[in-house]
Amino acid sequence: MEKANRNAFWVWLALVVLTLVTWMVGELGYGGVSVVALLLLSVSLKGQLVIDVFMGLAQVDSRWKWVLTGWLITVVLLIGLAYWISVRGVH
Amino acid sequence: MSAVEVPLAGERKRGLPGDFAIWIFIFAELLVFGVFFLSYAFTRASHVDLFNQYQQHLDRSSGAINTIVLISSSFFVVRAVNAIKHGASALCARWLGLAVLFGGIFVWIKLLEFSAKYAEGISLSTNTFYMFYLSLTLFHFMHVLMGMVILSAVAVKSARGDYSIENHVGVETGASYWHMVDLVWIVLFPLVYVMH
Repeated sequence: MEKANRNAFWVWLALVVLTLVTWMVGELGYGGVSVVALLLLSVSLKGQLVIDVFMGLAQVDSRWKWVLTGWLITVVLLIGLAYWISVRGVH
Repeated sequence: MSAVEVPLAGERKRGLPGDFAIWIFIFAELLVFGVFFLSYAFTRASHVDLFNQYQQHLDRSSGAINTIVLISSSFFVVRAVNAIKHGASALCARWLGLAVLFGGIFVWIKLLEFSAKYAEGISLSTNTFYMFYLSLTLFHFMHVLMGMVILSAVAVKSARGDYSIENHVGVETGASYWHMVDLVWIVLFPLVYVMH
């Protein structure tokens, strides 16, 4: 159980660091397709960490857990598509 | 709540944690939030300048602090689940209490953010960006409140000793819902406050 708590702590730390990086990107005013792609990569990583470690689904044998990962990937990819369309529309 | 089979160390669990009914609810909620997020992103594609302009008026620092508050609250819930898996129901209740407290901090910060916008005369009808910003964050806000009620009820039951190593489905059910609320905010914060 100590190991489980330790793993959860490291995941919490990773989530906090990625959140601070996201905030800093916003404060510095960075934008555009490559920045959005990196932010979406960060969202995917953070989301999967929550699903696997916080929800504990990495240790679960159930097809249902793929619904969450599928949701995350679908949402992230389609948001990326929408941003790509917006850039093509602008230029 | 029926008793559950406790997996041995290293053994993989069969089935999702908690009551399966909560997972149907979670999947439905994720579907709704997903449609909401994509509506925002694709509507933005037609109003890029408007969305970029008004996004700059949002309080990104509040959004980031609230993300860390919610992530921390989720971490406390993980500790609560791990505690009850060891049979430590009083410790589980304390971790859940801390998680609810952090939920309260999220709510307080969000109310300050909403009241600042209200003072500026901003409403759902101000423009398309604010319509999405207010409706998305308010919808999520309602889920935080509901999660706090669920976690509080579970904390009280845990403090009374109603859960054990063999039977802690209720704790896992509340935890799963709370992590869903966290997961949704992890997408919402960069999408609405940062990406442009």
